[in-house]
Amino acid sequence: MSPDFPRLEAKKVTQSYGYRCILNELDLVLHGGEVTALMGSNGAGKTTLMKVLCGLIKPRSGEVALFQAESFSLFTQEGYLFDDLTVEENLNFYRQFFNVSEESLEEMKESFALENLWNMPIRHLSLGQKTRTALARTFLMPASFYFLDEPFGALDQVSHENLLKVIKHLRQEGRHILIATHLMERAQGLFNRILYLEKGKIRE
Amino acid sequence: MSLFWRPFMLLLKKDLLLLKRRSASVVSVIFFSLLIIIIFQIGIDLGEMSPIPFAAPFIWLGSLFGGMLRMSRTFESETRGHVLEGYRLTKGIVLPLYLSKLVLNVFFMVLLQFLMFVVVVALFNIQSPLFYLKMAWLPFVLGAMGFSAVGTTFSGMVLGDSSKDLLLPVIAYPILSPLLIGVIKSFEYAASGDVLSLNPAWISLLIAFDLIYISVSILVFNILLESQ
Repeated sequence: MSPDFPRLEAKKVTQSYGYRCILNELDLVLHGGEVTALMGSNGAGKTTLMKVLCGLIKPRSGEVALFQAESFSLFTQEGYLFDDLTVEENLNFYRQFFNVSEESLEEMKESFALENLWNMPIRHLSLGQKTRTALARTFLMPASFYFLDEPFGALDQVSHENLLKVIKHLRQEGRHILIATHLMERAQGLFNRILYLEKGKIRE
Repeated sequence: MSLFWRPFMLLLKKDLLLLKRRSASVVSVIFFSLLIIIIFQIGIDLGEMSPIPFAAPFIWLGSLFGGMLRMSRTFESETRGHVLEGYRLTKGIVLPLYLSKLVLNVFFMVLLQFLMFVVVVALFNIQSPLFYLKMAWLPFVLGAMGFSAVGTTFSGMVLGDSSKDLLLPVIAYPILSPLLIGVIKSFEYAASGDVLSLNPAWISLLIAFDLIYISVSILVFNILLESQ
């Protein structure tokens, strides 16, 4: 593992909703150049953990430290897309917002087969099409860590294979991709590590 | 400076495009405001009195209700796709985001007041509209800025509440009272009813209100964004 790769360290992270403890003094280290699977039952706290790691939720206690890293990009089912704008308008907005080149946008358009959806408003897309657009938005953002929350569920076989290609490419570039999923069989051989989140703790 | 201007211009451009796409909601707000003025005009008989002292209260009556409807929809496009959460992954977004929303709301309020002005001129048969406008633009623009500063911030504050449309006017109107009184009291009228001049004390109050609420809003907006 290259020492220049980004690293994320979570130490004794605790988060709770009301009396329910979701993350209980959790310790975790993520290295660049790896793909990690995050597994756990429904409500185990996978999404909460991802949001804590990328700073969207402040933990009750503990800390998350970054080394050699720029930023995070997060994919969730919400998509972070504007319903009334087309796929092109959404992705172009984010391209300019993240200050990335038009070539990157073209790559994402091709990778997620968005050509035919290009001029369609988000509100007219199916769940799978919306997921592809949201994934393109996620990967358009330059980041050291990519957190993907259940990305495989709504994708067809071709889109699924395209997503795996993008993930492998990012891994080669030294990025870390953390994927929360129940569908392990759809990504056989992809993961460097498999983590289980149970009772607020990580088990490897 | 491009760290501010680039996202600011992008957000403003995107909001203008979305406003154009949802022009039906803008038109319905304008009709609602017009309807209020027309109903009040039908019910008031001015007799021999000059209509000019009634112009500012009527313009603001319509703008107040229509404007509050617009304010409650300030973050509509962001709430649908949980975009605000996505924004929070980007550093330095708070100031461009707040100011782009504020500028768009000020633009909307100025436009709404101008339309209300045209209707009031027609309904009350005001003889020298350009002279009135020359006097009125300053308190109206200052009023639009203060109204939008409070409306934009409070709209962000009630974002997560299911009854936000009811909550926003309840918490915003009491705070807006000095501003509303200031806009109406800014005018000094001659015995004939014509606008004589603007009262500097009330204009100062409007400027102070705008400066305080815009500054405070910029300071607290980050906290509001994090609480969503």
